[in-house]
This record gives sequence, structure tokens and C-alpha cells, in this order.
Amino acid sequence: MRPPLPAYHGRWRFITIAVLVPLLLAWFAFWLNTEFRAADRMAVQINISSDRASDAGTLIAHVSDAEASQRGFVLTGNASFLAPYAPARRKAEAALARLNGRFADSPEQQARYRTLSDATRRKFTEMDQVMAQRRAIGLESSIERIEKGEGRRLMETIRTQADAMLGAEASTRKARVSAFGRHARFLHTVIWTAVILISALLAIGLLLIWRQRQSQRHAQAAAYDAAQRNRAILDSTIDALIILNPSGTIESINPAAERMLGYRAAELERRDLEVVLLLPSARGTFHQRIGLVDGVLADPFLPDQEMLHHDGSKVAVDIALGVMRVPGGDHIIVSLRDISARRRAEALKDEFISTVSHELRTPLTSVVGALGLLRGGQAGMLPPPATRLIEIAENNSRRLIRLINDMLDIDRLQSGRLRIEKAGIDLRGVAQLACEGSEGLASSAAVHIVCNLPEYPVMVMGDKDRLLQVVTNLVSNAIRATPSHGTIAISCALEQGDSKAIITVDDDGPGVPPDFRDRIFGRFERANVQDGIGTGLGLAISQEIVQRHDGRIWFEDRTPVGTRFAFSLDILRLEPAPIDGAVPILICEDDPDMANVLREMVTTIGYAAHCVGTAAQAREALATGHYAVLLLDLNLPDENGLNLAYSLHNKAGSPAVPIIIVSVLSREGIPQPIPFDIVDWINKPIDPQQLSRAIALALWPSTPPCPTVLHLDDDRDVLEVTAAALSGSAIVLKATDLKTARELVQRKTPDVVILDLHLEQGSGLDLLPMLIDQRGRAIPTILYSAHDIGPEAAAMVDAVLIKSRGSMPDIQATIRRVLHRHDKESI
Amino acid sequence: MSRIEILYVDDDDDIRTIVELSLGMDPDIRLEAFASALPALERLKNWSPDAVLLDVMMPDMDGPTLLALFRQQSADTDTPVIFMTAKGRDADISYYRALGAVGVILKPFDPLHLAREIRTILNRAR
Repeated sequence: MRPPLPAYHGRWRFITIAVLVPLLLAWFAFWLNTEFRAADRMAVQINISSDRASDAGTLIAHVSDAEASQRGFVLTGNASFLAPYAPARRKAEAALARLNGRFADSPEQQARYRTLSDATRRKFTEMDQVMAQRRAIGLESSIERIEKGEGRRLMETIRTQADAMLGAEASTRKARVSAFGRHARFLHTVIWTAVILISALLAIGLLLIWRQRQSQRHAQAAAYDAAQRNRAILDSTIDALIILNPSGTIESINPAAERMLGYRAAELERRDLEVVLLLPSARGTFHQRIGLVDGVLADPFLPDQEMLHHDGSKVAVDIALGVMRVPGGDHIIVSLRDISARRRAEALKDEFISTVSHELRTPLTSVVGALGLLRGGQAGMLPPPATRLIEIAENNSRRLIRLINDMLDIDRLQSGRLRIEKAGIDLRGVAQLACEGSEGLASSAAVHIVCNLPEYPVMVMGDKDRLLQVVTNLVSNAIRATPSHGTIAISCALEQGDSKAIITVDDDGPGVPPDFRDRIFGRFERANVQDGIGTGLGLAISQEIVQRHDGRIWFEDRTPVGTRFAFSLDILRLEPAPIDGAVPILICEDDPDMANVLREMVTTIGYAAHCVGTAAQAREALATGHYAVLLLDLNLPDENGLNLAYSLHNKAGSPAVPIIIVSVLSREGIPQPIPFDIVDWINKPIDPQQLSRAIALALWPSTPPCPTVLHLDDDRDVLEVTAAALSGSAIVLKATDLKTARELVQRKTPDVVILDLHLEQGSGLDLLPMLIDQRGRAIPTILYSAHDIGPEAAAMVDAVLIKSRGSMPDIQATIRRVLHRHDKESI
Repeated sequence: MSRIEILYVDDDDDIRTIVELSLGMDPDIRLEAFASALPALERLKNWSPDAVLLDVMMPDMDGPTLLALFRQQSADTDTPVIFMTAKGRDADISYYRALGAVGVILKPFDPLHLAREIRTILNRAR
């Protein structure tokens, strides 16, 4: 999972405020609009009330004016008094008309209005009649009517109603004005509260924005600071650094990388890494090619790699890869350490050690040799004191030799260069060699060595020389620990249900001192420093060798006296392991154990094995024509092996399969001459090397007797060594560049081609298109490179060998294999 | 025990003497020793020994070069060659074997068992 972005905690506050403030403002505006409308309505109602009061007052005034006009006319009979009457009446009626329908909100006022309206009409009617009587009859009649009081009562009614109406309107107006005032104060309060609230929210928002900007500024400053620090580190570090984006493109390089690779940064940026480094795998995405899964690198350290310099040369480096997990994808940091100086120093040290050991060993050879010959009586019998002195000198010379050998081994151990080259071996052979090799030392110490070896093979995967070194060391220690005339027993056996092979070395010595037991396998540890014998490195080296074989080494007390040193290794698993393209070999052996041993030996040296137990099964298997060699036991349950071999060779219509006899019987023990060719006769117990040579010999006839091998490599030393290795078994054409190789191919078609992948100019694979023989078939090709080969390149050739892992015998065997396969395919 | 004829080249007089004495203890070994490569090559033109025993580091011509010249001048490429050397690193031994040596005897050797060691190597090479 990619890492999340850094958390930002103020987000929800911002969102809340950003949503809340507009909502609040919108609601407030709506509410305010509603409240203002209500206030408007209240103001209108107040105005209406005022108008009604005004109209009522106007009505009274106009009625009074009309009454005064009527009264003047009645009293004087002067018509001029009637001038205001008609306008007053119109205005009074107009006031009544305005008041009409304006009291819908108040039934009391409406009732007053109706009374007032009725009284006003009747008043004007009364006044009209009074004035009509005045005109028609005269003053007395009018006064008489007036004295009846109708006009006065109507006038009082009008006044009473109008006053009541005015009072009611005044009360209403007062109440409404009061309500309006309260409402206005409420609005005032609300508006100020809202202003304060919104101002507060805005202030908070602005504060948050300010704080965020402050944080951003601090983050930018911190980022700038970190970038400056990182840049300073990158610029000043002595190791070259390359930063790659997820697609493998170079994003940046530091000055050390510029110096190492000879490029300026701008020349490499945005270019593919393969400009300067060939990745081990050429398939998949960049991350797949470097083994990056879920941010974890399968192999973050790539030692002993080569970078390509701008000038075409190669720079030896150790590479450390790091993963930078950023939101843009997993970036890779490639850290390069120039190991050229280290390599030169190692080479110098190796050469120094080699030279020093050589220079020490050469005179020691003479010293030890001379002393040994004296001890052996070559110069005649010596008197006992002289013999003793010779022994002392020889023992100390040998001690010096051991010291040199152990120092060399400990150097290899410390540098991790102790090479263990495993192969399927019979531990009995190791024990036997140790017995034989220790006899000289044992005899000089007057110690008897017994070698207990089983009849059955004890097969393990191991380095024969190194395991022999272990056994020899244990025996050497045992000889030193064993008193004169004591016995040392070297034994080899299978243990733990035949799952472990074990070698034991038993002595009659005094045993390991208790205070030494815990550190017996330590470096430079000696049980008895005073005796001056040994370097204290032998058991440490032995333990390292055994552990490198995934084995265990230990010691235990023996009864009644003595110590047993032992080591155990996993027994070689005998399951057949078919090798793709390997030459098939048929094993006809009725003893299952021996068949398994043979199968293991055959598969170990690179062939495919199939076992049958009877002659009939062998005939059936060989009838398929699948097998290239027959390993034949003679004592078969259904038929004598020689009869089977004879019948196979005399079978018409089919080429005879090469036969190797593997038997407990010796060839000399067969009474009559064998009337057919066999490749070899191997006696049991089987010597794996003899078996290997015999199979190789059996396969050679099917390939060119002396194949022509074209070897293309820009390293002349490699060419010379390979040619020397193939000397006598192949004609080797050597080319150091593609042009020479092409000319050689045109001049003579090779049977096999060995190519180096990386040449100074181009790749050995560039030669492939013209590697066609006269029959139009591809010439068998072996890729022989110091680099790991990618699957695509491997698919283009018949075999791949790695220089650092392979050896010359590998090349011979590989040539045999590819030629055999080629021949078989062409049939 | 079969008789073995060995050509031996070593520039170190002391070691050569010791090898001569050591192998002289075996009556079935006939040794011809040379102090440098060129006389040995001359001898090999008209003699085909059962084995060639070569020191590696010699001043005028080293053992590997002698071996290469011997293979070139001789039609017989089967004569087993054994190197004797004080340079016994893994890489050195691998190199000698790659050159075609059937065995490598490390100096210092045990003079009392040198003959047996040579016989063992030759038997395995056969």
C-alpha cells in the first residue's frame, strides 16, 4: 500500500464554516425580509388608523361647519350663510365614503361607522328640512322644528360616535405603534446579533485561513530546509546516487555519480537506467525487473556489478537499492560504491599472499623434503639422537607449513572467498585418502591408523578437497592427541535412517579439557598453548567448511578414554532429476541401491538417467532409440549382461548403442575374448571420474571427431585458457571482435560457437544471424559470459555458462551436450 | 607395479635434488630431471615419457607455457602432465586443471610419499 498523504486536521472546520456562513446569511436575509414586510404592514395599519381618525375628525368638523352655516341662515334668512353648507356636506360625505369599508378588522368600529354614517345622513336631512321650512314658512317654524331637538340629538350622536371612533383608533394606533416599536427593537437586536455572529464566523474563517497559510509557510520552509539538507548530503556524499522514477527513468543524479559515470546530470536525466546499467532481467516492468513487490526489494544489495561509463569503459561497483515510497509511485534510489580500488587492493593482496606463500613454501619444500629423506634413511642410517633432532626439525617445518596453509584459509574465510565446489562424491573416497595421507605423520608419531569403510557407497554433495581437508585436520589433531602406540580409527557410515552420512575420527588421547570445550571451534583457540603445536585455526576452518556443506561437526567423549570428532552431511537424495535437454543414459542394474548410486552419479555430471532391472526391460527401452549410452551390469536376473550386449551389437538395422560395463567382475576375469566393442569396463566400487570419462568417450563418436569451435571474447586470457582446455579435443578459432569472428565464419563453418555477451563493441549475440551451417541449420551456440544472462538472451542460444561459476571441464561437457543434441535433432 | 618414466622440470636445484632422491626410492620410476624448460622440450621431441612433472614458476619459461609448447610440438596429446607448485590457491589450481593438467602436487610435498602421490594421480587420469 502506498503511504497516505499527511493528515490535515482543519479541513472539517473549513467545510463547516464555508457551508454554514452562506446558509446563515441566506436564512437571515429571508427572515429579515419577512420581518420588514411585517413592519411595513404594521406601518400601513397605523397609517390607516390615522387616516380613519383624520376622516372621523374631518367628518365632525364638516358637519359642524354645515350646522353653523344652517344656523346662520335660519337666524338671518340670509342665503349667504349657506355658502359653506354644500361644500361641508360634500366633504362630510366624502369623509364617510373614505371611512366606508375601512373597519373590516374591527366590528366595533364598523358598528360605530354605521351609526355615525346613519346619524350624519339624518343630520343633513334634518338640516335640509329646517332650512326648507325657513325658506317656505319662516323663522318661527324653523325654530320650532329646531327646538324639537332632533338636530341636536343627531349632532350629539355624531360627536359621540366620532369621538368613540377617534378614541378607538387612538387606542388601536397606540397599540400598533407600541407593537411596531417592540418589533423594531427586536429586529435591531437580531440584526446586531447576526452581524456579531457572522462577523465572528468570518473572523474564525479568516483566522483559520491565516493559520493554514502560516502552516503552509512553515511546511514550505521545512520542505525547503529538508531539500537543502538532502541536496547537500547528495552533493557531498562520496557514493554515487541515482534516483529513478517508477518506470526506471533517471530523475536525478548527484555529483559523485556524474564523476563516476562521466555524464553531466542533464545528459542522464529523463533517460533510461539501462544507459548506464544493464539489469539482470530484461522482462516485465522496471519494478518487476529489480524484484520490487509491495515496496519490498527481493535483493536490495547487488555486489560486484559493472556500470557503463560515458566513454564506454566499465566501472566496478557494489549497488545498494532503496525504495522511496511517495504518492507518485515507488521511486528507487540506486547507491553506487566504486569498488575498483578495492578490487585492485584485493588483487594485490591475493597476489601478495600468493607470492609470500610461494616464497615461503619453496624453501620449506627443500627443508621438509631433505628432512623427510633423512628420516627415511635415504642418506643412510642415522644415530638415534640425530634422528630425534631430524624429527624435531621436520615437525616444526610442517608446523610452519600448516601455519601458512591455515593463514591462507583463514584469509579466504574472512573474505568469504572460500570456494566450495560441490559435486556428488562418495565419502568413502575422502576417508580413504585421509587415511593414506596421514600415514606418514602417524608413523612418525608411532600411532596406528585404522580405516573402517563400508561396502556400500556413502554419497553426498560436497567438495571433495575441502572435506578431505576437514578429515585430514581431524586426523592430524587426533595424532597429536594420541600417545605413542595408540590407535586412531577413521570411519565412514550412514546414520539416522540412512539420511545422514557421517565420518568419525576416534583417538585414544586424554580428551578435551573441560575449560576448552566451549571454545574448541573458535579461531586461534588451542587447548595447550605451551605445546606450541598447531595454529588454533584447523577446527575453525573445519567447522566453516562443514557448515558451508549444511552439515554439523562435533566431538564427544569415548569410553573409557579418548575423544571422537565427527561431522555429518545430508545424504545425496537419489530421486532422478531429469535435465532438460540432457543426454539420456540407460542404466541396466538389478541391485536397486547400486542403480540409485549410478543414477546419482550420472545425473550429477549432467546426463539424464533411466534405470531398468532386467535385460528384457533394457531391450524394450533401447528399442525406442531414445538412449545414447547403456550402463550395463553383467549379473542380471534374466540373462547374462554379456549376452545382452552381444545381441544388441548384432541386431540388424539399428546402430549399436555404446555400452559401458559396470560390474564387480574384472575384465581379466572373463575367460573368452569379448567379440564386440565396449567403451569401458568399470569395476565396482565405481570411480565417478572414470564413469564420467567413459560416458564422455561413449558420446564423442556421435559428434565430430575434433569439432571446430569458434570462440568470440574480447578477453584474450579467456580465449587462451579456453583454447588450452579444449586442446586436443577441438580446433579452436579465436576472435576478439565481431569483425574477426564474421571473417572466420565465412572462411570455415564452425561446429560450435562460444560467445561472450558483452564485447567492447557490441554483443556476441550480433553474430547469431550468420551462424548457419551448409544445411541451413543453426550452429550450436554457447553463451559464455561474466554476467548473469537474461532469459531472452538464454533463449537465443543452446547453452549458457557463467564465467565466475563455470570451469573448463564445464565447457567441454557443454560442447559435448550441445553437439549431441544438435546431431539428434538433425537425424 | 608398472614402471613409469617421468620427465621433470624444476629450476630450484634443492627441490630438484629432493625430488630425484624421493622418486629414486621407487625402483620402478625412471626420472629425467631438467633445470629449465628448453632442454626439456628438446628432450620431449624424441622421447615420450609416461608423465611430465612441471614446476610452475620458472625464470626463463613457466610451466604452463612449457605445457602449451609441448602440446604444439607433439602429436601425442595424451601424455599426462602434473604441475608442482607452491601457489595453491583455488583459482591457481583451477587454472592448472583448465590448462590440461591431470593433477597438481602442492609444495611442500612429503618426499616419502611423492612417488605414491604421482602414481595415484596417473591412475586416476587413465
